[in-house]
Amino acid sequence: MTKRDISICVNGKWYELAVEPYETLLDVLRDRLGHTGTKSGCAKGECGACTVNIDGKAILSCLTLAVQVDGKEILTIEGLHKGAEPHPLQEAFVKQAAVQCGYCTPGMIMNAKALLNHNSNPSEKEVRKTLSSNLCRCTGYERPVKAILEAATIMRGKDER
Amino acid sequence: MKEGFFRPREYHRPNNLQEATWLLSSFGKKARLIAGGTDLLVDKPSEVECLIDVASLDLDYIRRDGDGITIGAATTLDLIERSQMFSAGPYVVLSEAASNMATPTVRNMATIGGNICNASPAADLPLALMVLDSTVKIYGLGGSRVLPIGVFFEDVNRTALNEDELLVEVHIPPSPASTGASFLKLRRHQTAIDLAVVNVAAKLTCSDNFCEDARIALGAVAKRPIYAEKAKRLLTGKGLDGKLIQEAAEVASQETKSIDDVRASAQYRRRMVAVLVERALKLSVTRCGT
Amino acid sequence: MKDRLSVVGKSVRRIDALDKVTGRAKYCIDLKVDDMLHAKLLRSPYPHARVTKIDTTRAENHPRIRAIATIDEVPRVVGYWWNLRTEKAMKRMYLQDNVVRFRGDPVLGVAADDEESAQEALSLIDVEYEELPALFDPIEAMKEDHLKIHEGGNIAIHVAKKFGDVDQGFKQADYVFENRFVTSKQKHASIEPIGTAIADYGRSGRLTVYTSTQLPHWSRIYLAGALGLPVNRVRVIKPYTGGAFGGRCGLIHGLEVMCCFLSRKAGRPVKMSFSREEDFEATEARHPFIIELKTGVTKDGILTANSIKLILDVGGYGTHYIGVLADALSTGVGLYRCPNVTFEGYCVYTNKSLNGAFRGYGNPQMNFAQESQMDMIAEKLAMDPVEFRVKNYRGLGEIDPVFDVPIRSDGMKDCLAKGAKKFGWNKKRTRKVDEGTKRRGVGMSCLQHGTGARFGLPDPASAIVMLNADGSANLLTAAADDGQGNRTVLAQIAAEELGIPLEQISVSDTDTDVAPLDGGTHGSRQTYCGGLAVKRAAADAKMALLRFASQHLNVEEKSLEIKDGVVYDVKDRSTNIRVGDLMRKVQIEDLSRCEQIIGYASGVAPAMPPTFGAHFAEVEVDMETGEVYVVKLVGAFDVGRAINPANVEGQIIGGEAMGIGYALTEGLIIDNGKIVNNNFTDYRILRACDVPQIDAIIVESNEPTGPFGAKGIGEATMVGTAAAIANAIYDAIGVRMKELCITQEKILEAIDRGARASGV
Repeated sequence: MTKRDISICVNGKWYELAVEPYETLLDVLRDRLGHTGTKSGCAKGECGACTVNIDGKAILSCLTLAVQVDGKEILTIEGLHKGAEPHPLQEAFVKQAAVQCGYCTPGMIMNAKALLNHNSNPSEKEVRKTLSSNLCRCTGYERPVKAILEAATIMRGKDER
Repeated sequence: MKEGFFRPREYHRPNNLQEATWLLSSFGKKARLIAGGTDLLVDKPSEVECLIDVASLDLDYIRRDGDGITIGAATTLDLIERSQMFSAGPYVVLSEAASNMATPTVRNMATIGGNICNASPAADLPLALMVLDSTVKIYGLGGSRVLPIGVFFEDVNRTALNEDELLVEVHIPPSPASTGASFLKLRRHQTAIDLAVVNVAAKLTCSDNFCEDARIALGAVAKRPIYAEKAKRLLTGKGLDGKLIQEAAEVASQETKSIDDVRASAQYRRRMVAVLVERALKLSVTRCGT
Repeated sequence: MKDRLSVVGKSVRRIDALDKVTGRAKYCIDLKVDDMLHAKLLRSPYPHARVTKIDTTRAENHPRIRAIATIDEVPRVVGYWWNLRTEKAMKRMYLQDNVVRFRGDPVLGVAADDEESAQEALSLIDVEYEELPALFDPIEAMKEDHLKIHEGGNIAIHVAKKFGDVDQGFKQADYVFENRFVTSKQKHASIEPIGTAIADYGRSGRLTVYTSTQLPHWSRIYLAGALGLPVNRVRVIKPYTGGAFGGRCGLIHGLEVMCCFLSRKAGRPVKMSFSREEDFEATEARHPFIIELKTGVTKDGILTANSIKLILDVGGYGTHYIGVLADALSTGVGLYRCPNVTFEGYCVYTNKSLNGAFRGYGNPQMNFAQESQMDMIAEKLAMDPVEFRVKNYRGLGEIDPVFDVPIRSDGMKDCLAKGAKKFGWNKKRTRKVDEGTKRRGVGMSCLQHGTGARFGLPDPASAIVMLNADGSANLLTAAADDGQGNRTVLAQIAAEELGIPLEQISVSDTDTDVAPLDGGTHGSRQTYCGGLAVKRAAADAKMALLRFASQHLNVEEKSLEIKDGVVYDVKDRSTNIRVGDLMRKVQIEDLSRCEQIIGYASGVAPAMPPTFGAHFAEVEVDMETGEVYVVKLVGAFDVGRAINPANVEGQIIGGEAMGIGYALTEGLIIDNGKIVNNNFTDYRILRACDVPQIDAIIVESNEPTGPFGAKGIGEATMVGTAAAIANAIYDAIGVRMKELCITQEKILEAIDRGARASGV
């Protein structure tokens, strides 16, 4: 036995794949499915660039084996926007100039998405704590934190309507 | 097998403990359990041929009954951090330790069982469990056995588990009234997320400042987490004051076997043990009333 | 003028942000080329050794191995664009021998069908080494006569400069301060690891290289030289880049050249990506400095003499050391008025990973020493450190002694005043908030950092602006954007100059086949140097456009203006035509014309204006553990004019955060030549929960030579952070910290020393 058949749902689309037991979800997303929006920064769970959502939770795809997520639904940065309309988090990151080199951005946004799933009105402190999973060398985090707080406000407004 | 690569050929998801232990025993040293993956997939040991996923063993639970609190080995750290059961009494020491570990995202994935079995000398959670007099339930071919967590750790990354065994759950017995506990961690400065330079958990049972019982556990200062036994003896059965606490902290620091590494020198660590133990004891005293 | 600007001075959205937030932006690491191979490096396990034999037989028999290139055939590039000035100097920059000079120095590369096979092949190759004694300490290496890391000896260069008469100066001094400072080896730690490239050596002899370089055009020339190709046959494409900070300011040791050689041998494209550990262990870092500073001052606070001695640890190979030393010189000598200065610098090879360009170049090191020293002097003289700086810094109209040019814009006083006010300097200096074991302290520093490299290095910038039939424009520029946002800033400048909306400007890919010669993204130069070229090119296009408009509207050119995409007569606004309508006529409708308007500019900027700045820091020190936390930082910077204020603030806050790391947590730890903190767990860069409140203040002094008054910002932002923090620590504990990075252990030792000294 070596390869195993798995099916995973990425951004709403199901894929049937045969994977080796050691293949990480990160490698499968990037190399097999071409979803390069999920980034690799350290491959050791330190930088958070590879963050995706599984069952609404933020997960490091570099420390997750593809075989472990058989049957699961995975949301990546590429699945966040609706058609031409960016997700409020994406919009807020652009508007707040929270993006510099952009390499850590997908991981930050996916982490923020998971935070807002269970806490629609986070404090700045809570946002900072969550965002501590993502290393960024450009921004000093100030503007990403602002962007997430702004997106939360906008998303709450939308829910009410 | 390819040399130097993490290339397990097999992946299993046993449906019960018997299956898991059978797999463990048949692959021996070449088998590894996987839960959160946050240690295994960082190290990626090349000798691993078989991965045994604990996901379908239903080991993620936190239960409370008259006998105390029981935590399934596959319970993730974020759940321990947020659980109401660890929000009051001496049990806060556990949520304090959990919330001080790694990054929030890693805590979504890492499990209590994985953290214990990785047996890092600098681990946070074991110290909290040690001062709470926790026991671990181990399951193997010969059935299950229970060990005090203090003896579970044997050396760097080495535990009392036999090859066929796995950790099933952790049990925390009830604490007497007027018991307070605390967890403190010294990191490299300007960072809130780091492995411990030194970490300390302390628990005191005392009334009117008379210490009926004490526990002090120290991390990152020996090959495994240790109890400061002499310091404990010094405190027990005495009236607590600043001087005695300071003395106990000094004694605790003498009980360590620190080493130099990238985070700090042995000398600094030894000195910091005294500082942290003193602070943790003082904090625990203030919590005894609650 | 400011009120009349349409898009310059506005925090417009970045032109690439939407691609980045949706995961669409492709970084080099994301790229695939058809039929490409994957390469890996075999790296030296020894810090210093001669490779005596390489046996590749077993690897060659591996069915998936396609090419192997070894140390004796692949040259290393050991220099920078300084070396391109003469053929002789250029030749010197290619080093080819069989000696490895640090742990992790590449010995050979293997290209295989997949990464795993390439990795596997490395274990099939037998290399024999003759181990040589290694030198890790630059002072030891300087003294060593017999053991030479490079043929010419261990001192790569020795520079001595003299201004005035220091002996006389020290005689005039009432006080003399003498101190020794040591700085750490900081790593760029961009989140996209340094070290991905794809080389495609086409069968027809055209070489295409994808690499995240700050220097597309210089890299093109370096590669042409290494491969023996005419420059026109080399094409460098820079995709999106995940941060650079100087770490990509040249070819990467062991990367692009190796990929090219492997591609040529295999006849297929070759991709190589370094791991995070390889990035930490074997790519360039910040030069550690040893600084001996002796300063003479009069009782009333006038500097009379300054003697500066520097030793730079170059590492195993030299790239930017001359520039780094020169930068330390220009700031060391340039920042303050002092008539008598001697400056001596040694750049020394050691058997450690190489050092190169890093945000601030040699300035953060020098500034740490100098601004610590200034703090000591101010204290001795019982002067407010801010006032002391105001009194002594070299400002508007004064001549920079190193480059012998006048300072034309100077916002230093504003930086100091506004920064101090925002920080609450006066209040905080006198009010101590001490709680339990905690002690608070405040400190400040100031700085200047030149924009670009005009004086001393080739420093070209070019741009092409092509107008389209609908009035929109394409801007062709090779100004690499590593995340700073300079492509957006350049688009803003083009739009402003042309008088058309920003949305009507498209900025080209960074591709040497498409965009003209550019000196690279370094020295905080793209807004200024790149911006000037773009402004000139846009003006060139505009001039042609107005010529046509003049004919069409029958109005004199000089009374025509363009705003919001409409050409109009300033005397009578009803006489107008949309740029799009005009362009359609010129380009398509008028069959006798049918021409495209193309504006062009190339050349150097007229100056190298210094960006001024000031940092204010408040710290809290735990006297029992030595831990220090920066609780507040203010950074005020004179950028001439902020073309995009949000971008400028982003630079300031990001730079300050990096500066805190430099001060307190960052430094590679090397044990017997091995870098032991080669990952983000052990090498600490700040996280979101670690960054204190940072206030960014933008000061606008209007640089007369700059595009719309702008000068640089990127590097200046972290130049003085470490000194401000060190000065604040002194204020808290009463002991000077003279060695970076300042760990809690060092602080605790200092507190002990202080206690002993005061007899407590």
